Parts: sequence; C-alpha cells; structure tokens
Amino acid sequence: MTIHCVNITVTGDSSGVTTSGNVAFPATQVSSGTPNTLDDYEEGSWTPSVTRSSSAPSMDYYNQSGYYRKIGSWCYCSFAFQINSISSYGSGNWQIGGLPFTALTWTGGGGTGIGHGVISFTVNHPAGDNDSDDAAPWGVWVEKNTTRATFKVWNATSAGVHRGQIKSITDSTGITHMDAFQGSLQYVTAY
Amino acid sequence: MSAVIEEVEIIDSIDCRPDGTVAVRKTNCYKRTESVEEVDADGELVTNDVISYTPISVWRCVLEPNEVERAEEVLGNKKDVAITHWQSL
Repeated sequence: MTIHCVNITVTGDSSGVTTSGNVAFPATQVSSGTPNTLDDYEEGSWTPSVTRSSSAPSMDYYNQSGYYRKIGSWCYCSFAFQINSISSYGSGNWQIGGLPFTALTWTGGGGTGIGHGVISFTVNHPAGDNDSDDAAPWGVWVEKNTTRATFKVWNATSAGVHRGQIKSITDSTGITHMDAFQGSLQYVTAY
Repeated sequence: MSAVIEEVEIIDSIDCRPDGTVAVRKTNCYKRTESVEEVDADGELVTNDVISYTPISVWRCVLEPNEVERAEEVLGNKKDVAITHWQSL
C-alpha cells in the first residue's frame, strides 16, 4: 500500500500507523510547524565539491560522490571525493560545498550552523597542508544559511589559537591536488 | 493500446540564492507514454497520448557563482537562469 498523503493523524491509542508498503511524501516539502508532525522525507545523491569562504577555487576531480537522507529537518550526508588538479586556489577558509539543502540560520554559535561531521579517511592531505600542524582535517562544521561545511583541524601551533583547539584551514594551498576525503555529516536544514 | 517507457531526467527546481549560489534539484524518472483511444466531443474516435512519470532517483547540486561551464553541464539550455542571476549580483 502506498499512502500519497502527508496529513495522517495518529490518535492517542497505542496502535500507531502500520503499513506493509510505503509512505510517500511530495517532492516539495509541505512544511508543518507542529512539533509532532513528520513533514518531509527525501533520499538522493549530491555532488560534493571543494570551495572557500571568500572566493572559490577552480579545480577538477577524479571522483565526487555523495548520498543523503533528509528526515524532517535533519539531513544526513555521506561524501567522498578526490581532487585531480587545481587551476586557481581562491581564498578564505577551505570548505566542502554543494550540500543538498541550505542549513538553518540560528542565533547562536557564531557563524556555524547546527551541524557537523567527521572525515573518516584522507589521502595525501598532510603533505599538502602548509599549516605545519601536521594534522589532516578531522571534521567539518556546517555553516549557517549556506550549503557549505568548513574543514576543521586540530591546532598544533600557538599562532592565534590555543594548542589543542580546532581551527579552519586558511593556507592558500591548505588543500591541494590529489587530496582525497571521505566522511559523513549531519545538520538541521532551513526548511 | 501501446506504451513506450523511457528514462528521462527532469530539472525540478533551480533556486537562485542571495549569496550567489544556485541550487539545482533533478529527478530521474521513467516516462511512460501510452496511446489511448477516446471519443472526442464530436463523437469521433481519437488517439491521445497519456504521459505519466515514475521517479527513480533524486540528485541535488549547488553551483558556485560564475561556474558557467558547470551550469551548462548541469542545466543545459536552462543555463541562462544561473548566468542571469550571477550577472545581477
């Protein structure tokens, strides 16, 4: 059985909703402000890319792959990509771009959105990092009201950031050709 | 009555955002075209095509400002939507 309606009301008994088939949501979310209403579901693929906060670099890739599931306002993403060559490096903090949904704008947390992720696998990166902190990115922070997540590393130097704190990668060639990343992230979306 | 099923890619939405990025959503669908015989208002028997779509997969991407080549690759003949947005920034 396929249910083509999102307005299903579950009453107060314990039977809940059961189906031997599927529950289908519309392609465009029908937003609900009611806290106990599930108003969206979508699964698909996305294309992760590398960008920077001030101006975007120009590069091509050996591969770019990503999958996501959005359940209500939470988006869960996986990603894997490897840079082939870079023709211009851009400027600003190094970021992953192309997240499938815009992150929520909220009033706390500086510029960061409500979301983060881990990079579980890197190739080549420390060799291309001029930070001298001898650390590959361990994770990403999702930026509010954007489709971007900023790479984060542990700080091993004392320049402006205490040892052990995390920081963004700002070096001009902080991420470079042949670097490969694989990981996952999750965040609250704007809609 | 005959039916033709083909796989097609549909651009569902092109979202031009204030920060200059352009978010694109595409769906791969099975497009089923079925020829159905019906009687029109004049009582004549006519053959009409009934088209239905069954979604297979969804793909999303974000174009950074002035990624013209990628806009052409992703949007095809709709690339001007993105280019016009970038020119307006």
